[in-house]
Amino acid sequence: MIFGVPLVALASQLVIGLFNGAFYALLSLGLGVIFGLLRVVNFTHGAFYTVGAFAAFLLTTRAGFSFWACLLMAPAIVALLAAVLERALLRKLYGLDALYGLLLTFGIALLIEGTLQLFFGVAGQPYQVPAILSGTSNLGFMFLPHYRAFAIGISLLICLLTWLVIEYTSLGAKLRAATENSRLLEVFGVNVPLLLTCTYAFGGALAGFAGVVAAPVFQVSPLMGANLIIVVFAVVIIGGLGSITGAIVSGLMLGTLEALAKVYWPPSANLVPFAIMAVVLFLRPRGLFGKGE
Amino acid sequence: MRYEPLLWIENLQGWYGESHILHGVNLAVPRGQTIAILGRNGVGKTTTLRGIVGLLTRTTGSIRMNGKELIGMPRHRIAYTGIGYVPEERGIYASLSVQENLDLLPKISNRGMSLERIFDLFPNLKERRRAAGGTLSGGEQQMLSIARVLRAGPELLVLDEPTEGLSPVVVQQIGRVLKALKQDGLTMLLVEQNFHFARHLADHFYLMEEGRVVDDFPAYHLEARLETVSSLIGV
Repeated sequence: MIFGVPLVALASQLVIGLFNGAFYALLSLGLGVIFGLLRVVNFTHGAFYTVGAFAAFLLTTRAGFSFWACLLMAPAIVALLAAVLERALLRKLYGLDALYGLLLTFGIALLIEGTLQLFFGVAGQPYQVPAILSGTSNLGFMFLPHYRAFAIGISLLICLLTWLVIEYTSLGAKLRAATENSRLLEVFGVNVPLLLTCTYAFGGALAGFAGVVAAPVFQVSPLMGANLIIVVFAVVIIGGLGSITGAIVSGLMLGTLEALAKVYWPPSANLVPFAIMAVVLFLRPRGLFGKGE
Repeated sequence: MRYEPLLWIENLQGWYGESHILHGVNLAVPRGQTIAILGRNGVGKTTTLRGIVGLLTRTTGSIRMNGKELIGMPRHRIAYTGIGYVPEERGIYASLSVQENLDLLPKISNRGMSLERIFDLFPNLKERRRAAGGTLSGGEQQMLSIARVLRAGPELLVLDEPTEGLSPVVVQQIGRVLKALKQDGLTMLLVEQNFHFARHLADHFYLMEEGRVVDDFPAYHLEARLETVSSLIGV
């Protein structure tokens, strides 16, 4: 018993918290990378997550592809969609007030979610957990569902890889340089317009990936992303806009705190992200990991 | 065959936002020479350089580099005609380390300088290669800004006020480096407020006033024109 809560219940909630936190981290990482470079608050991000889940659902139920194939194909589909949107629409708004990008991406999200509702209704569609991950292990102090452990592990791995690429490769150095001063980088011969398209596509792919990983646990529904994205924005603000580490750490932290709130004071769980956001904004407006401007 | 200089600017008009700043700049940079643009503050020297690398809102006229027209070319392609740009504000990426700044630029030719030679020319940078660009002194930033483009392998070095705000010791050091580069045959286009710095380096001078080139003369005519030049640029 810890503060009157059985260890088993606490440990299970912590796993659920880390599981949710992994999605927050993947999504806020993509949002953060996109905002850092494109200065666009990407409201389409939740829709990308939904599209990823639906792509996996359709690829599996209609075309017979395995979950593992979907894990690669669905993010690629979302990346392609994002690249087309960036080239055709978003590109025209660079240099204008950030509000235009926000409104455009919000509109695109409504369009995507509306289209999906037209074809699939609002009811959730089930997606099978892959057989090899369907079991549960008894760890002695708790039961650990294999799929949740897998989802946490692979999400953290993707976050870690993204962080390594951004911090330690020459491509990452170009990204960070473009975030600071993209016009000069162009003068030096770097194809910045291409870099922007790829960044937006990559951020979309991360959201699509999260969507596939979410599909077997949550129901695949047109509004799954819309419900999640608001919390993800809170995560981005808490972590600090544009901070990679901040997005990952605060994503996991928020998922965990939310889970703890569910154990100790269930009614407060949905409020926790926003209460923390308010406190962070009050004490440290640029976020926990944000750099001052 | 008609002789064409490495960089050839004809009747360049330039706008920054809504303001029309360049009103017809004509300028030629022959291969292997160092050209200096002189003039008071605000006559369009820096704007001319920004026009060359595509940083103005709008330009008309003609800028030919290595026979290729730069006006209308996508900005990220301009460097590949052989231009290395050292901006007035130095443009060091503060969150990147010195080493990352040095490795940042795509190679535009196989003339790119080796790290060995770079550290030979700028020993300070070697000691500070792990430091973040934002922590460098003004002099170190200027050296890094020059070193960085040399790594890419330009044929023409475009330098905007390389000595601005630097201590005399650092100015001397940068002067020695530029002289060595000149002896290696590198072509340079230089905007400089420090007239005494420019006169030891340049082969040919251009004088600008109100967005135009008003005069130009070779370095060996400088003595004879010293008075006009002084009155024009206020030395």
